Amino acid sequence: MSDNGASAKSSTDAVVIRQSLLDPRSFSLIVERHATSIFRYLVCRVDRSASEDLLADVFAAAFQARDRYDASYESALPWLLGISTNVVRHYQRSEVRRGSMMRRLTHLNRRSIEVSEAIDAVAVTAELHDEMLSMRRALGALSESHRQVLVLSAGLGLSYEDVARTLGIRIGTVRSRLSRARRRLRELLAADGQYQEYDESVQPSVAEERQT
Amino acid sequence: VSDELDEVRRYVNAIAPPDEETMAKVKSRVGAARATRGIDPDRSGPSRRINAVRWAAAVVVVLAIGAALLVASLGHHGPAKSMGAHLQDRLTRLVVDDVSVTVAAGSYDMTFTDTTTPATVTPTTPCAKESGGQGVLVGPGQQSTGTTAQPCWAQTAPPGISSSLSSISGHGTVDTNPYAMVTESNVGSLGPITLYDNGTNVWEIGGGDYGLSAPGQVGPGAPLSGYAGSVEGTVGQVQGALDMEGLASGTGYMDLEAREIQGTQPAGTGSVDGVPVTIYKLSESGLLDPNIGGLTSEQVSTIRAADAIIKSSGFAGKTTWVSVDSEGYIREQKTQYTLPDGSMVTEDTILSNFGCAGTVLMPGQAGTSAPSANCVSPDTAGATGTTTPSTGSMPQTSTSMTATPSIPPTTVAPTPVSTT
Repeated sequence: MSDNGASAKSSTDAVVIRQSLLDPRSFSLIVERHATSIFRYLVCRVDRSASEDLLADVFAAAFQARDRYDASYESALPWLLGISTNVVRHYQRSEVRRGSMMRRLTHLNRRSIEVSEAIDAVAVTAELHDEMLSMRRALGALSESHRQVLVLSAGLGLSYEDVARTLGIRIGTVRSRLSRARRRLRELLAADGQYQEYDESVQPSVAEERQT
Repeated sequence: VSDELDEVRRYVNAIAPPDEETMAKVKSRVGAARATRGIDPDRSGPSRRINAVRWAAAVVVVLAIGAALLVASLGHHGPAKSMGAHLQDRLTRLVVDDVSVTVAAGSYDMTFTDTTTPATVTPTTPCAKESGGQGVLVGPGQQSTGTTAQPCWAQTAPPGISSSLSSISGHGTVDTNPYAMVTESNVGSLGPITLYDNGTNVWEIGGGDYGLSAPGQVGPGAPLSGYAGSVEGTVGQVQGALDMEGLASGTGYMDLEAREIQGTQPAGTGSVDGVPVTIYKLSESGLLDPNIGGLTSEQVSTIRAADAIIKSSGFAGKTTWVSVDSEGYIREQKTQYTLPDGSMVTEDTILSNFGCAGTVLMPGQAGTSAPSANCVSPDTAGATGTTTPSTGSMPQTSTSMTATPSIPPTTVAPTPVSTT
């Protein structure tokens, strides 16, 4: 492994994943490269504590599925984000089921597990100033699909194509969804006092909306 | 007015990256996946479909059983497990995963020190070393240097245990697939003992010469289960049974198994051989599961016999501190327990050289024992390792070791035997 260590570090994700079929330990390079991005994506979807557990689930699932990785994609980030999306979906379903079962079992008015509350538990590095708090509230109030596309595109810098690949939707859908998400986000931020004026120019065109 | 997309970018980038503990968990999980599945390039469409059908059938069965259990539990109990129990389950799974990672390495070296503190304590007994006698046994944390009289444990041994056997140290090598272990121990007045164990047969060179056809003739070895009588007769029945569990575990002295672990707690961080580790404190029953897969019939019968002795003795269980590095390798295992006769046992095993410890050859077995020249262990330790006291409540000890223990060819076996 060490012989290949130096070259592996400069290799594309596709090459590293292929190498990991023969030398499973080299997969740790994929973990090192993308753990932070995946973690931030998870934190934007569920609370930080759950993200810490789910991060391991994501990479364990990725490791087990690495023989099916499409080597035509150099970066594994969209692939990993796609796995993350599925892991989060599975987690949220199980949480809902668990919450429902707990209510039935205990007859307690247990608080429902809602994404907006989970988002409220996002932790960031420094003290959040007002704008960040406002953004957190606004993201938390967005629909799941809008939040996903915003975080992937603007937050993690994925191209429209990669966002489409991550979410399994068409590029046109990504554009229109992002446009609507931006508009909704601005509305929420404006309502929160961050934006005093609403910029009409960011509204999506009718044609763009119909593209989906 | 700033662009809202910039705001989103700033917000996401402000999210703190995963901490070291989380990353350690990730690596541990991936390592466990590596251990349980490994390379499977032949997975094809049809086999996946067959697997999918199998999984679906399994899910139906599990759901049916789950529903039945749920109905039963609704009739008798209130809420399910507490959050504390849930956390313990998660931590236990983590440790079990770490065991899988360590076993999956294929081989490792180990050094160990076992100390038995007799039950009878006379605080005023001088600890001066007697001329020509055995070294004086001291309790954990006590010093035995010099001839200054100081409080220490009396040398009164509990029934069945010779005081000269109360401290055993040594080193060894373990291969996990196929299982093979060799250890060289210094056992009090019995002197050095080299032990070979392949899960079926045992050769004890020195001590009772168990498994040797004649002095100097190694022969084919003798059954593992039969070795219990020798061990239990030497160190005491319960202690011997616990030792036999380790020999039959298939992982050498790292006898950690899921069913044995009754509870897991985080116990801080520390370092072993300069490698940062996370420490977990486990409560263990001391019993192993003879029904887990991959055991030889000799290991199964040995475990069953040892389990029976431990259960009937009223043994209260063990407390073990496991130190795991960021790759998921178990670097140290320290265990304390009290035997029914009141004596206290401390076992400390340090593992190293994962995957590069070479092939353990049984006496008379031909082959190459040296690891491949390109093999690079994840170890980064120097030649001498010390266990740095952790920030948790792990007993504070220091252990000297060589990073790559080497078992010299035995002087007894007619066929040269060597490991690393």
